[in-house]
Amino acid sequence: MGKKILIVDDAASMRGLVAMTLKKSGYEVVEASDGKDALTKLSSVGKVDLIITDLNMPNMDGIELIKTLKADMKYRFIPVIMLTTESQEAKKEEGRKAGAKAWIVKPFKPDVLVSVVKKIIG
Amino acid sequence: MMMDEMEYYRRQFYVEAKEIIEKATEDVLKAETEPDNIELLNSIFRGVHTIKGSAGGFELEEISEFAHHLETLLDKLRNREIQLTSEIVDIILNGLDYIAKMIEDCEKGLKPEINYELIEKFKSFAIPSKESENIRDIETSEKIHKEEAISIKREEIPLDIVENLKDYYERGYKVYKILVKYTTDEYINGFDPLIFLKNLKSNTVYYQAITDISTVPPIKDFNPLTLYLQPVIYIATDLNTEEIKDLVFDETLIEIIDLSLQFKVPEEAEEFIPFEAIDKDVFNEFMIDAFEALDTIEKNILAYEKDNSLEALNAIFRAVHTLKGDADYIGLNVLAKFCHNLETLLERLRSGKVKRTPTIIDTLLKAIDILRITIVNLKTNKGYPSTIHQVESELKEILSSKEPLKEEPILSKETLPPEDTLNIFLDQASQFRDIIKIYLPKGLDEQNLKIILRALRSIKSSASYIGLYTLSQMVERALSLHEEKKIEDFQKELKSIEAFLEGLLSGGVKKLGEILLEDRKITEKDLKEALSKQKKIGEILIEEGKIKKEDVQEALQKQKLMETGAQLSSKVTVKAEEEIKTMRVDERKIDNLTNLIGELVVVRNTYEYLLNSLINLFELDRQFLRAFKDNLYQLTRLSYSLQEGVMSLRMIPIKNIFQRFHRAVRDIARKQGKLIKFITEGEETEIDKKVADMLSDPLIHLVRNACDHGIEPPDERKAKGKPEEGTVILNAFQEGSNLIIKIIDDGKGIDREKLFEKAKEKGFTFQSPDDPELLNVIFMPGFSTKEEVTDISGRGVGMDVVKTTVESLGGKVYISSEKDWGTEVTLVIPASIGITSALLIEENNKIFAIPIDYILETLKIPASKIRRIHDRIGIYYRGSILPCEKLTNLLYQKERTFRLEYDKNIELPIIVLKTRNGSFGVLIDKLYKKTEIAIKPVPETLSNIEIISGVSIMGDGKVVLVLNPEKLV
Repeated sequence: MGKKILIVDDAASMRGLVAMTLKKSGYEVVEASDGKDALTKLSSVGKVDLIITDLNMPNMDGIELIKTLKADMKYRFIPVIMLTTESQEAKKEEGRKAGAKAWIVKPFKPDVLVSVVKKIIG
Repeated sequence: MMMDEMEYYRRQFYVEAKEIIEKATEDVLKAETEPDNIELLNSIFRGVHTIKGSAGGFELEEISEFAHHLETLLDKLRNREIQLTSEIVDIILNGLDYIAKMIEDCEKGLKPEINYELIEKFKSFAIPSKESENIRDIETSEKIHKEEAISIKREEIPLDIVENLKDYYERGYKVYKILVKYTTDEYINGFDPLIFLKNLKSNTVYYQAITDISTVPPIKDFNPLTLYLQPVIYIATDLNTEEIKDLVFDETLIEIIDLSLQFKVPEEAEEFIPFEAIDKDVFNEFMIDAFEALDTIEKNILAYEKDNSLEALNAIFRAVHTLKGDADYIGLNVLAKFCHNLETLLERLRSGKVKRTPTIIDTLLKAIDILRITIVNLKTNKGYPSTIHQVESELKEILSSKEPLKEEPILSKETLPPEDTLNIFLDQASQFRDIIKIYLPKGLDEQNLKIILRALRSIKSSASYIGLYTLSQMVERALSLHEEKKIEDFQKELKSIEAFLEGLLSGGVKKLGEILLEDRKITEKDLKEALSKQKKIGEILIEEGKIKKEDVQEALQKQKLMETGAQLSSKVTVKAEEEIKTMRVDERKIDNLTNLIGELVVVRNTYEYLLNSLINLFELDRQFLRAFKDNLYQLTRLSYSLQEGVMSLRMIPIKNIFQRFHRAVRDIARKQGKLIKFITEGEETEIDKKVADMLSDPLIHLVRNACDHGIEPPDERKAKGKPEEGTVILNAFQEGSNLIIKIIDDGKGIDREKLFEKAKEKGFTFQSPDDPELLNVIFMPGFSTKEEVTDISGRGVGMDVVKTTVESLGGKVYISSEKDWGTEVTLVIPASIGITSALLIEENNKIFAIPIDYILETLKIPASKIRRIHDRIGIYYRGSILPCEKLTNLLYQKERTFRLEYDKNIELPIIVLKTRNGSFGVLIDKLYKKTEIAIKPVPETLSNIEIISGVSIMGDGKVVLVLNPEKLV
């Protein structure tokens, strides 16, 4: 069984692209369109090994998602990678504080994404 | 395979990007009229930002680069570094258009080209003008001032690093410059600087290393055991110098330079209670609560920034308010004062006196950071950080820039506080009630007592703030009882406070008298007496000197709170139902489904046909037959529900196409110097997506026409005595099964004389310029009254195309116009294509279908009743004459019937049809039944025959023609 990764992004194209990249490296993927949706998906899928999320999304943004996850006993240890166009230091800092494991700035290089993912969940 | 999949997502991106551009265009136009609406600018910025990011991901570098330049301009706009002028609006719109064009190129498989000319324009506009610099707030200019001060001592620190360091310093981190002095010898001996750097980095919030790579030799001369780089590192961290030294094997290997001095602001003298005087336990308790509160505040500030949520703002206000009370209570008066200023700012935000801007949000966040740092500093006995004064003066600056900072007025009894304050109070009240409810029965040990006392203190100040003096007095009483160690009385008082709160929160609204009674202001006797005198109870009681005016006022306040509470609980239930989720589906999938449903209906019809054949051929068991029929009925119901569902999937609000027109109107208005108000009505009206796509071009043509040819320039309008601003209205609504779209303008209208002449020139003859048919000539191909074609209208779509498109949808176009009053064009579109109810009839042994929408009535009339009327036949029908004709004659365009060769007693079936041209009767051979049919388009070879609007396959596999009654007569 491959490792399962939840991709959270409001742009379906971006989700698709990330999913494609990860599937090629043998990961299983689940997609969600925003933070709220991610929580719903999590509760239906159960455990995932990693979450890759965008920052700016409707309903619930990426950082809020991390904070919510960290506050939940079931999900607090799932590592989260931020994948966003946001590159401001302050935002990154906010993400780091919230508990993001890595911060990748879009546009991303597929091999960079995969190597970061590998580093975190193998 | 890989490529295909990538392409699939790329195409998805095109769609998304176009949607973003459309939304952004709309926002730009809105922003032009609401220049203070920062949220709009933020939203545009985010949109372009997203396109930039995604485009890069899909290897569309050109789009990404171009978007980047537009984004830079937008960033300056949203940060208020430049002002949004009409010229900038133009250039942004051009930029958005250009991105759309690049995407279209990509869709066509062309390589998009970057428009450097536009980029230059972005850049030229991104330079702040002199005026806008003046508009910049004092805060920024102060910043610049400070920056200059730094730059003197800054030496060679790169500017961006200085910015970041300053930022972190202000947030309470320590900032250092670190020089690494490892030598090659030490490196060979196992002292790897990289280990130190890694350690250092993991302990910092900001880390920037600067290296001179020119010292690294070319690869052939490269010695792996030589240390070439001597980086200079800038960090922001919690560590002090000693702790940094601990990270390195030998502290002489590095040099630490504290940069804090460079950023330090002169300290102000401030008197505060020495921290030592505060009880440690109390402080710890305060600290835990404060951190929690700060987290809540921060989260809500972000929510507030995102969508201007009043709820979030209220939550911030509430938390700050509590924090202020707590700080004040334990004697941290500097902190309390700071919170007070913060609270005042929040209050102004709530009342709308101060507008939400990014600067304000920044200040709020800064304030929260400094509160955190302050608390940590106090905890570790470091005293107040100097920066707290700086942030505080920033707060004051904002407050004083609008109006002088007044002392918070204590609520006067004449004015009740606004409703949202009441909401906050109700929230607090319910917390307090719960606290008492939970902790009182547990027994008053030290821990519980502490919690209760704290709640009481908060209630006291909130209650007097809101004007509930009875409550605050009760609490005061309780507090003093506790002080006097009268435990039983204290508990009793708590119970009555709980009861008071309970009454307040019970959700019901009580009568004024009841409230007064409950709060022990009057006796039951007083109440009864007062009630017997038909007057306002409060007035009576005051008149009689039973109570004071203030008491009534307070009771009124309580009543209002109850009302607010009751409303609040009903509001909450509504809100939960509002959320609607959408998903995007490939259009082809829905088309497919529509076709399948069509087939399903055919199969259902076959089923019915087969069942009828069975019944005719065999003697079937009745029960068996009934089951069969029930089953058929169920199938019918399901397939029709299914069909309805799929049809509703295809429907989109017409808003989606209307939205684009604002842009077109604006462009024309700006280009031609006209003033045009563009109003869209009925935007929620639903329309089939396919129809919407087809109508988009004709509609834009009509709107352009109205603006270009219709609306006159302002001076011309003024001369005519019309308002200088012209109006163009786009209106959509449902009428019966038709969708009606009207384009109305109050412009110059069509000049009939001119049109008459022009028509004559083109070879159309009319009786006079007043001929009602005259206006229709403008729908003729190649017809235009305007001498020269302007570059706005006449972009390939003429009025004739409008007409053809609408007619291909089975619709109609009408025009009415009056000189100097304006023009109104009406499009009538039949709402549903696909499956309709139709009546099957037989004529000359052939079966035809007539859509039920056209049928007024079916009659059977004795042949004798059908008379000759003038040159045709007809019947008396509901008080008037209804012209009739045999269907065969209509179909084959034969001579009209004058005389019927039927036996006078035979009853003839007649269908009364209602069309745009009036009603008429059609004589047929045989009436069948009403049925649901899936109408397919007429095959191309038959498409010129107007009297057929489609074909349909029957249950037995026969093809039936669907007649178009509009064209029959």
